[in-house]
Amino acid sequence: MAEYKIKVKKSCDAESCGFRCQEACPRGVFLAVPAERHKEKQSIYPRHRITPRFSYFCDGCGICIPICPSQRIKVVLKMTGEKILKKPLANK
Amino acid sequence: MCEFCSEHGQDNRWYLNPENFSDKLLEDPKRAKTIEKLVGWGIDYYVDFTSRVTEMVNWPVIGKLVKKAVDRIAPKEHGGQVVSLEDSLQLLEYARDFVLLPCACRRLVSHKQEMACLNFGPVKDLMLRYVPGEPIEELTLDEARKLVRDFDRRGYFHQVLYAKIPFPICICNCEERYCTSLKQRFANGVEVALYKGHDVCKVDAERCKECESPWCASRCVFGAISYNPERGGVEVDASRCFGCGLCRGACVHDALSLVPREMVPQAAGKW
Ligand code: SF4
Ligand code: SF4
Ligand code: SF4
Ligand code: SF4
Repeated sequence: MAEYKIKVKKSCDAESCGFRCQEACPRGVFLAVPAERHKEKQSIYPRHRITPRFSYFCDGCGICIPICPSQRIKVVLKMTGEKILKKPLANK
Repeated sequence: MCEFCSEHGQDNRWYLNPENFSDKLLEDPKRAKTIEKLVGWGIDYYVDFTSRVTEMVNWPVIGKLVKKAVDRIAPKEHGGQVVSLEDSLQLLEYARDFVLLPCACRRLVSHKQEMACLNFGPVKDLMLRYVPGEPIEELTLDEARKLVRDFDRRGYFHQVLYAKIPFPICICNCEERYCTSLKQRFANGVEVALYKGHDVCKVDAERCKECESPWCASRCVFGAISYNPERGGVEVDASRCFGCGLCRGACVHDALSLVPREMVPQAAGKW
């Protein structure tokens, strides 16, 4: 596998959005990581951003792309550089 | 027997050696520190850090060095091994203070809350001390055993997690979509993140009745079962089997069983 390259903009604020891409991704590609480097601050006001840490498992279904309310996710087929735009019809 | 057993098993599987559950092992300051690091809110940082490091195994030039370092350091910190239902039930006999906690992998990967992480030993006290607001459910031994059986029926594979080998602290019950140990093993080839179990699945060809849609294969998260049209039944690729035993629960013809890994040449010595 590892056929797709995924980018998520660092501006992601998962708490505000509601972790939508994570809930939607059937392959468990996205990991929520603490946004705050200092554990004390994080424990008072927990914020997470999303990173595609497990992109190896992506099958290019495209579900996550329209789900992100501010278009922060980009999925690209590594071999051809083709950009996956949205959930393809065949997978609907 | 895996390398952990030869060192800590006393002729048994390491997690079935009652001595490894002794509180004396907590006198080791490194172990105590590892457990503190894992418990409570530290887990978010821990998963982020370890998954970032194991990703570096794929990097050119330094990748091999990182892999060596991970293989050496992980057993001194935290890791897991797949266990069958039978072994899970047996190891619970040696543990104390069972608590059910929300699964960190499900939360961090899918924002899903599920009480599926069965901890024991020192975890209860540490949770109450460090993260008193976190959901926690105390269980008796009987309740813990029933729960593991329920998880098995639901198709969750079991993994025994250690805090610095050979001290077991948890039976985690997870699925392919969420398990960050499984992800690190498959994406980055880091075996020590999730060791294969001590058993391997075997098919009894006489009993395997070629179901229309073999449920056993759909249960196997490790992709070890495939249909063989020539024989008219399923086959297990022993080199891929992790010995979780979940496939057995799907077979109404009782055609699947677990045998010790050493007895199967394609799987022997491969962890
Ligand atoms: S394209 Fe599909 S599999 Fe890949 S990250 Fe998005 S939702 Fe997950
Ligand atoms: S859907 Fe977009 S904003 Fe929401 S958590 Fe995912 S990447 Fe962040
Ligand atoms: S469920 Fe049992 S009988 Fe059916 S294919 Fe699998 S092993 Fe064979
Ligand atoms: S073949 Fe059975 S025992 Fe082996 S990994 Fe698959 S489900 Fe688990």
